[in-house]
Amino acid sequence: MSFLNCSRSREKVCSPSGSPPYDQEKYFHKQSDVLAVGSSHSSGCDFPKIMLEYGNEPLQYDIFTTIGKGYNDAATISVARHVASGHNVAIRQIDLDHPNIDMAALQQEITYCRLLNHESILPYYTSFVHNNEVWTVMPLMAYGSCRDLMHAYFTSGLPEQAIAYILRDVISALEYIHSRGVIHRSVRASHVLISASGRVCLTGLRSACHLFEHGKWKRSMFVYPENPQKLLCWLSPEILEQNLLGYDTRSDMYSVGILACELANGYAPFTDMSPTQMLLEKISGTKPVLADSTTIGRLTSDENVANSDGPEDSGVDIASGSDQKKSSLAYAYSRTFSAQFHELVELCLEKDPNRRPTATMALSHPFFKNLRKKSASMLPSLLQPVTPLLDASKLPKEDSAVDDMAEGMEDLHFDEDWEF
Amino acid sequence: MTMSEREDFDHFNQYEADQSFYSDANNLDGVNFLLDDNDVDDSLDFFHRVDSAEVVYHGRKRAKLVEKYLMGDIIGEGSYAKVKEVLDTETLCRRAVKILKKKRLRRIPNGEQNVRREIQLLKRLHHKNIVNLIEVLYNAEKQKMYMIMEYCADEIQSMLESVPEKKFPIWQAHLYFVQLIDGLEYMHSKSVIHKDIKPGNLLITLDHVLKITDFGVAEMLDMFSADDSVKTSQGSPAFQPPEIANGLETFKGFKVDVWSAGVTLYNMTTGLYPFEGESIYKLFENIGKGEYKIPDTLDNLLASVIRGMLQYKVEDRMSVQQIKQHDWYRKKFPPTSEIVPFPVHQESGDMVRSMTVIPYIEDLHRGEYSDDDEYDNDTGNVLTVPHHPEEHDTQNNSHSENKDNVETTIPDQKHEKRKSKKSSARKFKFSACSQS
Repeated sequence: MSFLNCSRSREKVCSPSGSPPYDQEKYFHKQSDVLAVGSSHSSGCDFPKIMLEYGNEPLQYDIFTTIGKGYNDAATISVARHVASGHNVAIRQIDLDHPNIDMAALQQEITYCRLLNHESILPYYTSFVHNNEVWTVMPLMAYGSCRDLMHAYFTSGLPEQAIAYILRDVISALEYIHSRGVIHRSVRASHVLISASGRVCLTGLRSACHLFEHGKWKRSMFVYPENPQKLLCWLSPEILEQNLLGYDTRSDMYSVGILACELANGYAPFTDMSPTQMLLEKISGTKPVLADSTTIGRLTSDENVANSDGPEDSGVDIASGSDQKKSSLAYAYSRTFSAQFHELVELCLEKDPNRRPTATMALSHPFFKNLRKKSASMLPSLLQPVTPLLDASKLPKEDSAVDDMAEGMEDLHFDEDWEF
Repeated sequence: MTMSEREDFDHFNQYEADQSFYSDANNLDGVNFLLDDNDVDDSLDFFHRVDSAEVVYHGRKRAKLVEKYLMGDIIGEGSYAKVKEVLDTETLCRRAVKILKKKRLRRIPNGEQNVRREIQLLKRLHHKNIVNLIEVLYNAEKQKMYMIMEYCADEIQSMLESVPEKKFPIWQAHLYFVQLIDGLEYMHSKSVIHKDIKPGNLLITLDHVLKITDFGVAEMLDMFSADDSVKTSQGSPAFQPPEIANGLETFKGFKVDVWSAGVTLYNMTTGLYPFEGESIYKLFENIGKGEYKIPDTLDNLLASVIRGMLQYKVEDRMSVQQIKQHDWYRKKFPPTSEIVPFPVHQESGDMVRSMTVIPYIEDLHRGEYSDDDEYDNDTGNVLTVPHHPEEHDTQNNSHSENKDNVETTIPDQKHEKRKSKKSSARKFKFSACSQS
């Protein structure tokens, strides 16, 4: 099985006998980033500088408590400590006997995470097979996903500044994977994780696909994603249309537009529609918008139209609202997003992929001007009062404290699974 | 009355039985005019059949769900089945459905048995180059069976027919042939013999992946059988090997598929058939002789692989493994010339194989017809306007009423506001009640 192969190769890289330091790998990809990456590591909080090696033995990890479920309940994500170094990690255990497992996709996800190396893509330290489970060891992303953040506190959306940092990092991750011919296909809030220090990481490469096949670059993809039920809202019109035009990396930019709406509004557009209705809306070129004082008029009037005349006329994402949406709608009156933000979202949500910006173009959009270079320095303060799930300094040093902490952790409530 | 109508009318009186005239959609106006005329009342049955079809086709595509699948347009019709495009309303994945009616199956020799076998075989086969059967649904009440399968853009046959020279450039033929052999190799490894390999049974997906389909006459070898000897074949005559044309009792199954694949390759690269005949007897006679010509346009390497596959004697004929080692098979063919594209859809002019279910989704979300069973009938594709041609023994009043319906429905299209649609729809509903 290829997992084993993966882990073997990792072992070699990390073998104790004077192996090259982990950071060297980055030289291969992005020379310009080396400085930045190096400094983040030396500041040394959640992504410990990996001179140490993460082994492939379950005994090398103390598993504390479960922080999430995922993958149709086949996966359990736990906080753990790497015994040798004392570092906190997250471990995902996937039960291979579970009926809903798509082995090929799982294998592909782990391969992608090995092949791709970017500061805004969640790395997997190692993965191995133990009994009937695949274990994947990864850094602990203490703020959880952006979806978690919205459940925990920002029910009507995150502050614009925070969104700017998050989107910038997500788009730079996309720029990187697009340059390697990979299409992510599931950019959504639950796949954007934030570490305790405010580093933003994109994950969810399970539904990714690549344009590079059999030694040739393909101009476009035609394969429809497997098990797309949960992703439908974020999928671009051209993926959904499944016609001879196909889709390419620019369909991820559409998902970024939806992600932006999701982060700003507190929920993803189209969520309360049936899939077929959403398809109609997307094909007819309906553009969701950020709900704020400038668009609220459109939103509410369209809502009235929608209610009286059926769904077909509703121009915008909000057709008829659940309570949560009503409250966020009211909240939307009181805020105004910048014109640049509106413009970026509108560009990303163009139905015609040729009119959307590429990831590289999007990064130079005015919306991302005046941001600090490192999200890590700003995000935690922007996300207040939410605090990270787990602070490195508060980690129990002795085994006896583990139980206490575990108890504490169990009090934390998660509305939604972590989608790793 | 305009001149053209006048002419139409005269024309009509002259050739009452000329069917091509009646089915001409452009004569709809003439039809309305005729409805007012008592003299031609007798022939109204026929008219109604024509224009109600027209009305339904242009006016509205009614949503019909079979479990989670929303029916789209018909994309193919076989001897005992109809194939429609469908949309999985949960995943929004395009699918195709083969609809089989028990009534029709009984009328075809081995019909039911063939279908049962096809399902059984498809459930065993999982390969990139073999069409994937997603699930099978039954409707006991209507005696219908729905085989949900992968959606493919077209079949090789109709792609070939769409170009004047009736053949592919060599590189495109190679692209498909390699996949055909891959599919055959897998199938044979699972002890399945297809027996009906031909361009009409080879589907091509949007990204040019070949899928072998139609396992209606396929056979699975017994687990304990010593070799691949089989006894029966019901495949298409032009693609049958000499041993079948000569009526041998038993023959080697795998080599039958090799021969048919050879004829397919010959056809894809030349636009011709190696063996022809005015009747099936003549055809079999020619195949039985085993004499054919390979046109000079084919290069030696290609000619040699075709010759290897069309060997008269079974033991001389190449095996799938030998084909895979042949230099022509292994050669790389970069796309040097224009690809033969998927033909443009004739009615809609659609170039990109757009979903045909979209109008049905629109209907689905119009909300009024959530209870679609009421309008369901056996034509499936479209639900007819309530006034059936059979019911025209009623008085003239009913005709004029029908005429109103016809008129209100014709402009009933997208640009119209929905309200007008609603009102005309209600009219339908009403007249349906009054007539039943």
